Amino acid sequence: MADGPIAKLLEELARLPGVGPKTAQRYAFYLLNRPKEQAQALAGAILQAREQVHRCSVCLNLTDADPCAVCRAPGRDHGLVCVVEEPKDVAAMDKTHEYRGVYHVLHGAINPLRGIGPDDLGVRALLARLNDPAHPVREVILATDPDVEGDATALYLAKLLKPLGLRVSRIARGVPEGGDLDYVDEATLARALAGRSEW
Amino acid sequence: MGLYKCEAVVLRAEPFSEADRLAVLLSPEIGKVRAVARGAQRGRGHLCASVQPFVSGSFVLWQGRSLDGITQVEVRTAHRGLSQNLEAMLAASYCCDLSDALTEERQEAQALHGALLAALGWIEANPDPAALPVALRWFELVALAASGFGPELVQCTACGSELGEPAARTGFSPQGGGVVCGDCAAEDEAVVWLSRNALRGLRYVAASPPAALAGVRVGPRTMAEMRAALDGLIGHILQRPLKSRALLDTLS
Repeated sequence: MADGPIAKLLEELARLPGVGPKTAQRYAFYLLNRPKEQAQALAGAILQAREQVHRCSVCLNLTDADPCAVCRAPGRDHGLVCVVEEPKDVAAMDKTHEYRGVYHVLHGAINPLRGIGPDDLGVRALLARLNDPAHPVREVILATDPDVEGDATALYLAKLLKPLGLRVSRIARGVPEGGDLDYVDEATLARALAGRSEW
Repeated sequence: MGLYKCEAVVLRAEPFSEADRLAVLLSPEIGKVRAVARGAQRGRGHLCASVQPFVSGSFVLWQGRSLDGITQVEVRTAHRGLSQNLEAMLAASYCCDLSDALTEERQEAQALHGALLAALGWIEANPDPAALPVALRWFELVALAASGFGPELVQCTACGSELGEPAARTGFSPQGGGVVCGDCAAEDEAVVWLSRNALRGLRYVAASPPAALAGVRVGPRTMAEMRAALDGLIGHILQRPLKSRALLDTLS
């Protein structure tokens, strides 16, 4: 049974998402068995990131510069804004290499059962951004998660944004690329059928 | 590790860990069950789409020490229409939240399960914001009755006297759990006043099946009185506000 500094380290590591007591123990003993400089580099990197990373004043994504690299990029289409729930969704969208617009991160989704409403999300910043005449926006893509909370958020935003005269679209949903129809669940298949396109 | 099968509606589903999702199910035979859907949060596999609020179906679960686990779901209806309308979705969320709050785990919930399915179907079929208040009052009355808290709308809950035809003004006592006569209302500080139409409305809605209420519209003033009485009663029973209700009021 660990105690003192080891117990404290285990406790802190076990707080991380996806890290249980066993994994925490493995990480802790790995770090303790490595040279001291390696632990210092890790601790330093965590502290530096924590101190220097903040929300971009335009898109609310996490960044160490303001505005962030995406909002500053001249090659991006600033008239196209993709609204996502979390910063990790920006990375996922960018990995497609298909999207060249900019982003807006809400940092959550409307969740009626947990009492999370639009005021708890980055909706006000989105509206302020869309009303900025210096950066006219022509389309907003709602890329919130395809679940009840994501749909509630998308519905709310669509209701709010359509009167502004913008094109509001929602990302499609359906069968995965390279998948087998036999293994697709009924709900996804029904959505895919409803959203079928001319071929 | 025993497997069992039950019909159920998903009342809520939230992340349990990086990959798993924790669902609260309402089954007619077993009642409220908390169960983990392994891998559902990662977005892979059929449990991802099936273990979502409002989904009704046949669930296969394994019995765990503290939490059960979901292994298979055969979806009967996903109530997908609810995701096309914000007000409908918020109203449906409130129905699920109220069902969750009114039930204890592992207690038979035949009536509540049936009422919830009827309410979700009703809201999905009639998402018109003008029709939602009647659906919600019906569900509140039926859910309260199914949980043993149905309001008394005919006899005075304090002295037992018969009130008969509604008077111009009748008191409703949230603490007493129903209407009170004029004398008893004077002694109840928390009494909510109901007009003749509001009491008639509550009695009619409580006694009618959804099919009979589908086209019914109630004036805003009468509805506000009906709502105040039921809000008071639900607040007294739960001793806490429902988060979904606050959001429904704000966004609708």
